[in-house]
Amino acid sequence: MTKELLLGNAAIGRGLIENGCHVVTSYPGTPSSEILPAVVKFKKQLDLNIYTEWSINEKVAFEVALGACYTGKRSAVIMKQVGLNVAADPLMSSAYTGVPGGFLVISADDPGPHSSQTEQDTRFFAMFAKVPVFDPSSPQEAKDMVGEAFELSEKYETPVIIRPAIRVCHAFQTVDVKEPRIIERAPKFKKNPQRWAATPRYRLILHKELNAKLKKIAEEFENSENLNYAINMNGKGKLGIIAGGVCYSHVCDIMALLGKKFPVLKIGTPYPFPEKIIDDFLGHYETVIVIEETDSVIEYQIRDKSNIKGRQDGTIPDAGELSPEVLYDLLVPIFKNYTTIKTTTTSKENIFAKALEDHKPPVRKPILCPGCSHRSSFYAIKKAFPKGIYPSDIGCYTLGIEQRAVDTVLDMGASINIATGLYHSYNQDKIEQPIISTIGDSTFLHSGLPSLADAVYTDARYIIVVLDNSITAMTGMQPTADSAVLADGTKGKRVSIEESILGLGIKFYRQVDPYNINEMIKLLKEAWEFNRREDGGMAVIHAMHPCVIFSKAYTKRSGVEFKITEECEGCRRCITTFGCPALYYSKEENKVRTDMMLCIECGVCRQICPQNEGKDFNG
Amino acid sequence: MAKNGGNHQIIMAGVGGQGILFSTKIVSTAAMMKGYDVIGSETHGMSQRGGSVISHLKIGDFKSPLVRNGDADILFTFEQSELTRNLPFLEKGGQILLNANDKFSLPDSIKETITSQAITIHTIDANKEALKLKSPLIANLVVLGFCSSLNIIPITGDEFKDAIRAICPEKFLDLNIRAFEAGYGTE
Repeated sequence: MTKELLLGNAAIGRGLIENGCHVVTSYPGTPSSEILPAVVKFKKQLDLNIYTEWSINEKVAFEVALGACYTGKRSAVIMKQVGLNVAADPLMSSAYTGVPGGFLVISADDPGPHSSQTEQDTRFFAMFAKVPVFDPSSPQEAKDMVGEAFELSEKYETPVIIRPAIRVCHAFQTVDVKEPRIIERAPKFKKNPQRWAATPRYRLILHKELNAKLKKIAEEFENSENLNYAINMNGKGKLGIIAGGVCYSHVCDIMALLGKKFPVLKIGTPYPFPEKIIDDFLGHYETVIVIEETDSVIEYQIRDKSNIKGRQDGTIPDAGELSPEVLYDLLVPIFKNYTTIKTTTTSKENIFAKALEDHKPPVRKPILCPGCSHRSSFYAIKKAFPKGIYPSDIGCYTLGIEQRAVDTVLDMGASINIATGLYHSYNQDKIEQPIISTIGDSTFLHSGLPSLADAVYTDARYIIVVLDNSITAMTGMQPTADSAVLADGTKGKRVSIEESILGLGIKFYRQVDPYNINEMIKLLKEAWEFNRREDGGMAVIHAMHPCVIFSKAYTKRSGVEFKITEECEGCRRCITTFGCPALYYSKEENKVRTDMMLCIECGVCRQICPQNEGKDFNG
Repeated sequence: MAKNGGNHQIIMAGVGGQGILFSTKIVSTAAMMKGYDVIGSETHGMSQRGGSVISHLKIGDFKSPLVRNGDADILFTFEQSELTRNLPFLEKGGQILLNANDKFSLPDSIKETITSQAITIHTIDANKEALKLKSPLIANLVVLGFCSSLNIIPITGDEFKDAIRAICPEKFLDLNIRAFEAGYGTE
C-alpha cells in the first residue's frame, strides 16, 4: 500500500478499479465530472479491461450500467445530484427488481449551491427509492466506501448509492492506494422475466422483499464500526453531536482548534437508518446537535426529537453550505454553555472583514471568456430581436444573462420546451412574439431531441439557436456524441447534430459562425420570416465556433494591442452591449482599450463598433 | 516552524490561468513526499479564464479540507488585486507571499490592520522574473521559489524541486525549475 495525493473524485475512481468494477458510465456535471476521467486514467496506466462511457444523459448512463450489471458484472453510474432527477425513473424501479451483480450509483451533491440549480440532498432520493446510501466525509473514506458498497450491493442484490458532496469531490488528500483488483466474470444474462420484466402483481412481491432486505441492511449498518461509530464517548453527559459527511470532518477540526473533545457519533450510512446505534447515543446525552448536509435526513428519521437541536428548531441554517465558518459560529456559543473556551474569533469578529467594509474588493462575477462565441451569438440575438423572449439552458451560455439575452434557465433541455409553451400561449391569443431559445450542443443531445420533436409535432413557430462549441465546456471539456470521441479517447460513431435536426423534419436549418455578427443577424431575421410563413415552421440556427479554451485559441495571440478602431470616441457601446472582459475604458484617454493579457483577437468588437459601421471585417 | 505543532494552513489565491492548482499540487506533493498528511480543496467549475481561483491546503493533522477564515498561517497571492479579498483568511502573526509590482499599494487602514495583526508581507515581482524567462505563465513557480527561500514552510528548495520533477511534464520541467530558482534567488 502506498500513499498518493488524490482529488476526492480521483479517489472514488481509484476505488472503482481497486474493487474490480467492469463498466462505468457517466454524464458530466459539477462536482462529479472528474470521476470517470480518473477511471480512464487508471485503466490506461494499469492496462485494465474496463468499459467507460460518457453517456448521452443520466437516464441513459444509469440504464446502460444497469444492463451491464444484468450480466453479473460490477458496474457504476456517476452523475451530479440533479442528474439523478433525470435518472429517477430507473432508480426507483431498479430498487424493486434489485441487481444480480454489484451496482453503484454515485451521485454528487452540491451544498451551496456552487454550480447547480438546487441544493437537493441525494440521501432523500435514497430514502424515496428505498436504496442504501453511503455518505463519505473525506476522499479516503469515499474510496474505502466504494469497496463496502459493492460488497453490500452483491450480498443483498440491491443498487447502492454513494453520495459524496462537493467538499469530498473537490477535496484532495494523501490517500492509501492499493493494487487494482481483477474480478473475472464472464457475462451471463440469466433470464428471469418475473424479476427483470415484473408485472404489477410481482412488483408487490418485490416491494415486500425489498423491505425485508432493508431491515437486514439496517442491522448490518448498526453493527458496522467502520461506517457508524462514536468518538470521545465517556459515559453519560450533557452534550453530544451526530454528524455525517464532510460536516463530521469540519466538526473534528473545529474541536481540535478549540482544544475540546465533545462526543460525536459519525453516521456514514444514513439510510436504511441505523436506529439502535443512534438511540443508544441519544440515551447518553441531555442535548444532541445533528449536523448534516444538505437537508435533514438523519434528523427526520430520529423518532424522539425532544432533545435534538438541528434544522427543525432553527439551530442549523436550512439552506446553504455548512462551511467551517458557519459551523464554528454556531457551535462556539453552544459549547460555551458546557465549558470554558479561550478567546475565539467568529466570522463577524474577523478584523479584516471589518477593515474591508470600506474597501470592498471588486466582485468578479462569472462571465463568458474573452473571445467566447456565445457572447457573439447573444449579441446578434439581442440585436435582431430586442423585444424577444429568450429561454435558455444549462451550460456556460447561462452566463448570457449578463447580456440580458437569457430569460429562463430551468433544467437540462428546458429551453426548447419552455419556448414551445410560450409559443402556444401567445399563439392561442393570436399574438406574434419572437421567441429565441438557446441550447448548447451537449445539452441538445442530452434532452433537446425529444423536445424538438414535440415542437415540430405541435407546429410551434419559434427559433432555436444551437450554440455549438464542439465540446461540453462548463464541466471541463468532455466530448459529445457529435465529435465521435469516446470517454477514453478512442473513436466511436458520430451522431451528427445537423442530421438529427434535419431528421426531425426541420425545414429551416442554417449554419453560421457567430463571429460573423451581421450574417448571424441576417439569418435570425430570415428565421423569424420563416416562422410566420403559412407553410413555415420551426427554425433552427446552428451557431458553430469551437470553445476558445478547448481550441486553446488564447495561445495563438500576436500580443500587439488590438485596436477596435482608430476613431474611438469613448461611447463604450462595446462594453455595455457586448461586455468582453478584455475591453476596458481608459478615463484619461476617453477611449476603450484592450487588455492584451485577456484579448484573443477574435475581432468581434470591431464589427459592433459604431465607428466601423459599413466596414466589412469578414470579406 | 514548529508553530502549530508543525501543522500549516495555507490559502493560495489568484485568477484563472495563473496555475494556482498546479502550485497547490507542488506544495502538497512536496509535503507528502516528506511524510506529512495533506488535505485541501480546489475550486472547480464556473472558474473561467480571469475569474477568482482559490485553493485550501492543510499540512499535518487535519480532517476538514477547508481553511476557516482566521486560521490560515500563510496566504499566497499570485494576483495582487486578489489580496484584500483573501485577507480574512489570515490568523494573527500570519505571513503573506505576494506577487506584485512596485506600484502596488494598499489603503492605509488595511495596512494598519495588517501591522496590528503582526502579519508579514513578503513581496516579489514574479511577473517581471517570469517575463525575463520569456514565459509570463510561469510566475507561480517564481513565487514558490521565493517562498522556499524564506523558510516559512518546512520544505527545502531541493525537496520542492523533487516534487516539481515528480509531477511536471518533461516538456516544461527545465523551465519550471529555472523559474523556481529565479524566485529562490530573489529577495
